Amino acid sequence: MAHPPPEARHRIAIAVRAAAAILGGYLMANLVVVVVQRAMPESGTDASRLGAMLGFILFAVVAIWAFSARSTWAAVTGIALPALLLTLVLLVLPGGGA
Amino acid sequence: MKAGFRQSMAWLHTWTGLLLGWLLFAVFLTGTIAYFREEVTLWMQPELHGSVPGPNSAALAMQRLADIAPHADNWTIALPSPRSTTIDLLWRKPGEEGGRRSGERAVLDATTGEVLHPRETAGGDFLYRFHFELHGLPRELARWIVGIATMAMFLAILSGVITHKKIFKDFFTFRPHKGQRSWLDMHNMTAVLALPFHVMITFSGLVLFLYTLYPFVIEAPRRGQPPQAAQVQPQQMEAPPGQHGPRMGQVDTAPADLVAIGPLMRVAEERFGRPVGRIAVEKLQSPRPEIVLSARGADSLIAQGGGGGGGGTALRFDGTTGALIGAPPPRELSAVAAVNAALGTLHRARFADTWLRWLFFLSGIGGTVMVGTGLFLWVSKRAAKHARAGRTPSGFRLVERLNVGGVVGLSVAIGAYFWANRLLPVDLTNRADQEIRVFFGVWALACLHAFLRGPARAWPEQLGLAAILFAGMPLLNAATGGGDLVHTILQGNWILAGVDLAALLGGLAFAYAARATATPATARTARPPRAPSRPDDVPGE
Amino acid sequence: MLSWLSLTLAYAGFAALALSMPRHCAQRHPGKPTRLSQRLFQGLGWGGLGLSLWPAIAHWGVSIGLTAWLGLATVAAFALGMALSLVESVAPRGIIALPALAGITAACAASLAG
Repeated sequence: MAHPPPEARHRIAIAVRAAAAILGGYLMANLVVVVVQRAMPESGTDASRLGAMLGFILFAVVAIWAFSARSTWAAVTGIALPALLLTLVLLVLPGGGA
Repeated sequence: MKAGFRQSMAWLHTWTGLLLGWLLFAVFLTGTIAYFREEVTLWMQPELHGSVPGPNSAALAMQRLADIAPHADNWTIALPSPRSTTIDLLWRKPGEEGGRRSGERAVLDATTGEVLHPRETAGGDFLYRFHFELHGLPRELARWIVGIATMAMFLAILSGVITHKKIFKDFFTFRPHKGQRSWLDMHNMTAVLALPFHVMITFSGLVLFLYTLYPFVIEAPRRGQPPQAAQVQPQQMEAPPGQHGPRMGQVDTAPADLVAIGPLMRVAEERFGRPVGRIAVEKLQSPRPEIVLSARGADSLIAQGGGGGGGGTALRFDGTTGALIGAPPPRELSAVAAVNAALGTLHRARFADTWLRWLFFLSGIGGTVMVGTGLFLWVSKRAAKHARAGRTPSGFRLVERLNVGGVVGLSVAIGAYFWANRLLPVDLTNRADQEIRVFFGVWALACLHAFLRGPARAWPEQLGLAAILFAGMPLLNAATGGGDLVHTILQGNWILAGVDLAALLGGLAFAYAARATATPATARTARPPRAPSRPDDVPGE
Repeated sequence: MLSWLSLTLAYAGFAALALSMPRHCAQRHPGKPTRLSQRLFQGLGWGGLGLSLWPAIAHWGVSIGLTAWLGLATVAAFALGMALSLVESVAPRGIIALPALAGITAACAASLAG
């Protein structure tokens, strides 16, 4: 297996990475949808669909990152920072400020 | 770093695959069978097997509807096709809402026009619904569960490709009777060869769940009526010759004030370049009823929109004069909408002719085998290690047994479902539910059996049972009032013969697998081998 | 018939590709493939696969044709994989080529006839 003992530390690390992958990935996917919706306000359903497709891909990328980053710390920050960035983009885009 | 990355991807591949593997296997297997759900439903209603499509189905259907449903507001006729040998009628009374379950229905013998009375069955529809909404769970919850499994599948595919890049060089290799190596070869082969299908089916599956999976940011459209066919600005066309005149021929005569359907069919088929699949007669209680003819199948992936249903090419005629009053405008789709429509269409394969349907089915079987062999690999890779260590962890033993129940047990349950369809009394109340109960009952028993007997014995026993159930289906069909295989082949009724033959082939495959697992050489996958396998042959892990 | 032609061309293409791979070539005749024969089979293989795209598109149109072609290629390659594993265990070696030859001949004959 990729990660040798000590068992307990290993398990906690896996749990943190899994949480980062699932929660972070889902958050990012949703953020992308909103960003695309804001960026293409006249496109309606199309924006949602495009955002959703990008969101699925982004979720996968986030999950892959979460489990491949060198350290647990890097895994978490590597997701949290881009999520923060997306939130900032959202605030800057017209129609934002929510 | 490179090796580290590959290793972590192998880890991700292993665990996403294992945790949702049994559910994915069930989704793949039932979804694959659902590519033939109409055919399966027909098989499950032997009362309909005598119906043979004739040349006058359309006129026959119109005539019978005038008798059966003269006071209806609209009629819908599904004509016989390469997927159905009967005429299916649906009519709604004035003021009735359109919807999937509304209206009254009848099934006609396509040659005689006689109303047939098929047995109540859950049919192929149950397997279709199960593959994305499971059973007995709240709809949205079930969709979330399957949606999460789909995302796990997506991750397993991506991480699998990253981990095992070298399988692309070796994908023709299958070494049978080599235990773990055979499983691995089969896993690689079904994964690589059908990779476009796997990526398509998984990603489009996610996109189809879009409204379920993004409830916070995307508002789901209200579940409403099916898309209306060809509601467009009138476009007066020269009426095709022949339909104003007096009634033509005996069967071709239109009832009431409606124009004869035959000439309209010819016009439409010429315009479509393909057969008419569906006839709708609307506003029957008004002085100007209208007839809408829809083409069967499609000539492009975006022709039907993503939602399936009746959104394909259609022509609208005046029901009393036969004048063409509307053709659908050419579809103008944005790039995103086109991609979305293509994905939905691909996933459902509604456009597919018989050839394509078999290709999708075979690719789906490939996916099913990929998931199944992946589950076995998890066990067989660890078996040697645990044997050396001299102890088997309880988690390992659980997975070993769930593999039997989840993979073979499900196959046995599907087999039992088909047998229940024929053996339960025809007039049983809630018959469709009873069939489904047999399915789940047998599945639960199979899981129990795996735990009681242990995997080494449960494997060949359940595979043997599955072999008998599936290989016996043609006999069962003939013995319980269905069209028997010899006749259906001679008649060229490939719908019924196809189901029988596919079941027979499946049964033979199960028999082969039962024999293979019963011999000590491959029982190694179930029981730890004495000699450790050579690790250099096994990529990943 | 065009669909059969596409299937058999894809099969033939994969068979040639397999022959260009050292492992499968050894199944055909002992010894390593020469550079020339490897190139030749590679060319034939990709050529066959490319060619098999044409009847699929002619039959189904572009979007569905491409879909069908991917499916046909999957089935063809899987059949070849099974044939190769048979070659290793029981059957005589020529068997790999038989389905392709029979299929292409039949398809060509039928498309010429009508």
